[in-house]
Amino acid sequence: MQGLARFGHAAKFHDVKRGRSWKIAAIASIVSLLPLAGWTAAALAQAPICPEPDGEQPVYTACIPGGRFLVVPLLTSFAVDVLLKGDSAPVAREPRAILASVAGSETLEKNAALTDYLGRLEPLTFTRIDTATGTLRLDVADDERSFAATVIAGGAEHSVKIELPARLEGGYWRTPGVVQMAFWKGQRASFSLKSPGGLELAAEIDCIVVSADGIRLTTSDPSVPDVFVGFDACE
Amino acid sequence: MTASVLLAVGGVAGCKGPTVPNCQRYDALTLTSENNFSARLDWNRNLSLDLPSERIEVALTAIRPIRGPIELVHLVGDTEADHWMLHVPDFNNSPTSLCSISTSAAMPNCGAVLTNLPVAPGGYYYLRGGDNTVLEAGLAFYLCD
Repeated sequence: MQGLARFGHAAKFHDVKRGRSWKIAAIASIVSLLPLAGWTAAALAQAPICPEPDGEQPVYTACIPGGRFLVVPLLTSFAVDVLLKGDSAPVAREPRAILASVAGSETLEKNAALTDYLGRLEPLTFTRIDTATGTLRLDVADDERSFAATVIAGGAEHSVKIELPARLEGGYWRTPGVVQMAFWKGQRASFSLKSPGGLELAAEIDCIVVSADGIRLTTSDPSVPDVFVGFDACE
Repeated sequence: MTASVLLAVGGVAGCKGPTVPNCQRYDALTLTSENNFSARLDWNRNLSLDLPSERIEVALTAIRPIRGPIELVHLVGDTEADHWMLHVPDFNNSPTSLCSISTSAAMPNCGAVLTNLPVAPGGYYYLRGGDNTVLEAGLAFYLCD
């Protein structure tokens, strides 16, 4: 129950940041009342939880050609597990296994430090509320809460730093075509990136949207643009 | 989904700076047994579907084999505004499928197109599985300025 109540708290934070996601708070409140209100409330909660894209705000954009073919199997696998196994136990995903499923063996070998780090993390667990919604959690050991290394991606070296809370936690909303994950305030991941092209980016991530169109990261700080990595029309 | 973040970080490493995208994806609804495969979409944006690059994405999880078309109906007020018959391919026997409904005859992979343009996304949607066992569906709109 405590977790569900905090789901509502996270959603209200989006409202403060964007000033346009009023329905997120309403949805989260409904979700938090599920045990009291039952099925009818669940039916009303079938709407996204991450802030919608703002058609006027700039975002960092990039492209991964063929990324769709990496992500769709992950979405399908998640759909199967949530629908067929989700009632009996949380659905678990090991971070290293996810990376291995979307990256080639050569990429993994070039980024051994990252691969090893992900291998040391606990599985990310998803606990179902209903078909579309649930909570997620990743407990992080104290000595694994910070990672810094040079990551080789796209033929270039990038300086990457990741900071994780003791418990990464939030709620999710999903369909067969998308997973949206909203993280509660104080329990979010942060990252910073320095690339050879001069790009420097540092952000706390409050929401992640993974779909066949791309991956969208929304940031907690209104002054930091969101990030969208698309999978189509790469130039 | 830590790896999703890393995948995104790897991807964004190739970009130079923030820009306003022309086209964006708007996730809208999920249709499941819990809402009787029906839901209302409140739409406050001044965006509608009328360009060739725009589309509705219908994501479906259904028991295979598919035994006929799946019907998606869009109501505005009390009036049926659109009605699409989705012929879902049995691709690799995957339990999930992504159907695109667009204005372009080249893009649709489930045989449904947008005909009564422009299509305003707002309204009430419901799904009829026909002879199929549909477990869930999701609607998203890919819209451009």
